[in-house]
Amino acid sequence: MKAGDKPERGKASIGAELIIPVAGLLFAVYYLTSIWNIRWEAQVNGLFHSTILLILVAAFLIKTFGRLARGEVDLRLGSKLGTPRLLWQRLGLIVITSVFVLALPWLGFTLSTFLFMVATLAFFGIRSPMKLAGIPLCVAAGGYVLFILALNARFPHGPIEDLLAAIF
Amino acid sequence: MTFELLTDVLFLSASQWWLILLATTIGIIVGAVPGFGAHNTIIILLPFTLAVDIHIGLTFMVALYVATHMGGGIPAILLNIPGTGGAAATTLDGFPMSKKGQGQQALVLSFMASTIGGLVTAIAALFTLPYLARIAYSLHSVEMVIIMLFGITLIAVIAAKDTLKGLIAGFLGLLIGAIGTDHIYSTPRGTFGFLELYDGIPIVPALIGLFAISEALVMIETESMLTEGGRARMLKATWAETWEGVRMSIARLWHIVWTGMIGLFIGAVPGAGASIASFVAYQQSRMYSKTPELYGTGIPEGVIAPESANNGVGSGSLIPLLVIGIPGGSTAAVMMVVLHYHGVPLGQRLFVEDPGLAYGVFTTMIVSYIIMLFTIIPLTRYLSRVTLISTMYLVPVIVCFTLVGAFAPRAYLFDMGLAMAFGILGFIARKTGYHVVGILIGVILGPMIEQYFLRALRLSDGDLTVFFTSTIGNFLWALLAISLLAPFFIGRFRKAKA
Repeated sequence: MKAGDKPERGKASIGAELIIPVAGLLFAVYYLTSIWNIRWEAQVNGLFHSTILLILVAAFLIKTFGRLARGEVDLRLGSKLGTPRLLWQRLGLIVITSVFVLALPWLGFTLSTFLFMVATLAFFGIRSPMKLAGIPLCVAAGGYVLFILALNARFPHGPIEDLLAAIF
Repeated sequence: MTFELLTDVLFLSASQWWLILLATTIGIIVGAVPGFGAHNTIIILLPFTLAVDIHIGLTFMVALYVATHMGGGIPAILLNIPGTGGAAATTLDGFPMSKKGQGQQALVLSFMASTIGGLVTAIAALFTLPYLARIAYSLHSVEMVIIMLFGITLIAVIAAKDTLKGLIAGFLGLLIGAIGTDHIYSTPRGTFGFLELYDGIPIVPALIGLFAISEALVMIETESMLTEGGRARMLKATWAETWEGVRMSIARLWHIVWTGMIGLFIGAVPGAGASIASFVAYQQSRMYSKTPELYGTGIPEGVIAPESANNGVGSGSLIPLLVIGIPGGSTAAVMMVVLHYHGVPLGQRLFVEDPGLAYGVFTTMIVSYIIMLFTIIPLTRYLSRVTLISTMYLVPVIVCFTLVGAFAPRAYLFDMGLAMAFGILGFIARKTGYHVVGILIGVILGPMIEQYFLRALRLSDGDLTVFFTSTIGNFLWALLAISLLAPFFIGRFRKAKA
């Protein structure tokens, strides 16, 4: 356990451990509502899994609240998911990746890969122009050769792919 | 099968070494890239396999198939990202070995276990084809449901430190796997209104998100994947480490053989697949070990067991295809399409009309494994150096290439978003002790379990007691209960003893 998970009172913070069971509980309830009025053949499998999941989550919550009542733990998030600085870094990576996914249909695979690599490396603190240009160029070119030329994968084509197709 | 026929097919396979070399090279590369499994690649290469003679086409497909099993272990060991579902169990001990600077040894162990396990099981399959095929006849829908629940339970017990958390992860995965329209009335269930989820949760984005994206989110915490001692060890690594890996493998030869046989038997059951086999082999290996507490910390047996079983499945899953015409997995299903296109009869007729083709599948496997042994082991020294690259450079490459892999199978941008959602789920799961492997195996088994569950219920007119009516089924229920309760009682016994 990390230092941050055990504050001065000596209690472990277990709020983060509740995210998955609570998400599971909400999903099971949503799933059950989505199968409420349909034929039994379509219901039975989901009913079986969601019932077991709800029982397991209930058992986990009872166990957790027992520990809470005994004063062994508290419900704060603690540092299990990382320090605030790391959480911002992760959020930044997720934002850059989302932009990459959204830009892919317009820019095509090769160009968006290149720009994604440049943006992520810069975000992680790489400042050398050689590295900022060279690594993305190698990755984008390697990806183009492997996925588009060799494996003929159906990736979105953009200006680079169109240009290369026109030349070769 | 006569000795003459055996030598004939063996020489025929050996004479096609150039084709096998090409196919195994492609197979190892695509196996190592999450999202590009054997079946995807064979589909992409259908114009080739449909155009050439079926003997050449089948040799190519089989060699590529076995090589992807081997390739899937590479990212599992070096980056904690399995290339295929079957390599998920390899991450449990493979990645800790890499972190300790033993990536080279772990890779050699994986390749040796794959090669020897694959070789032994291919030879065993050659001589036991008709008997192994009977396994498929003895297991019906009821037993299949229990086997799959057994798989989830095993993973909960093995992978997670807390069994309750492991079970929550497994059943959450099963419920996620139940998303999509039902098989009979096509009623959408749990789809959040997304049309893209009507066919169910696609496996590749789930695999990529749970393993690759979540690992990338974890990786940015440190500048290097390796521990300090591990880095120092890696920097000094020479060919001696490769030989050490070879020696470690030879010292555990019997371990490779028996875990490979587990894979062969499970592979012969249509639908069970490498994901379950590798975990069963890992669990069995831990159960019979004198030091079970070391599993998960990076020990050779923890790499050998899943990798050998994974390759045993390769031999086993083709048996039902050839003997009874039922594909044992997705790749076998694609192969069946190619065989049908060429007018090749499956089942008993194949062994009468073209026995060379039927047995040739296994001799091709034997030749492929021998070729791979010499082509891939010398590369381990260079492959393992991936772990020395700073995470600053690795993370963008992993995110970019794996997301692209999520897009590849269906060409939906939605799947890339789905992989990111699974990535966040996987990250939280990793950080809070809910093992991602349980969720993934649940997602993989979800649609299969529904199929067998419904079939069993329809055959019994909706009577739920059908699940307790078969002898094999009841035996499996007992095993399931034992595997769930055993850790609890063993723990209490050890406490009492102390």
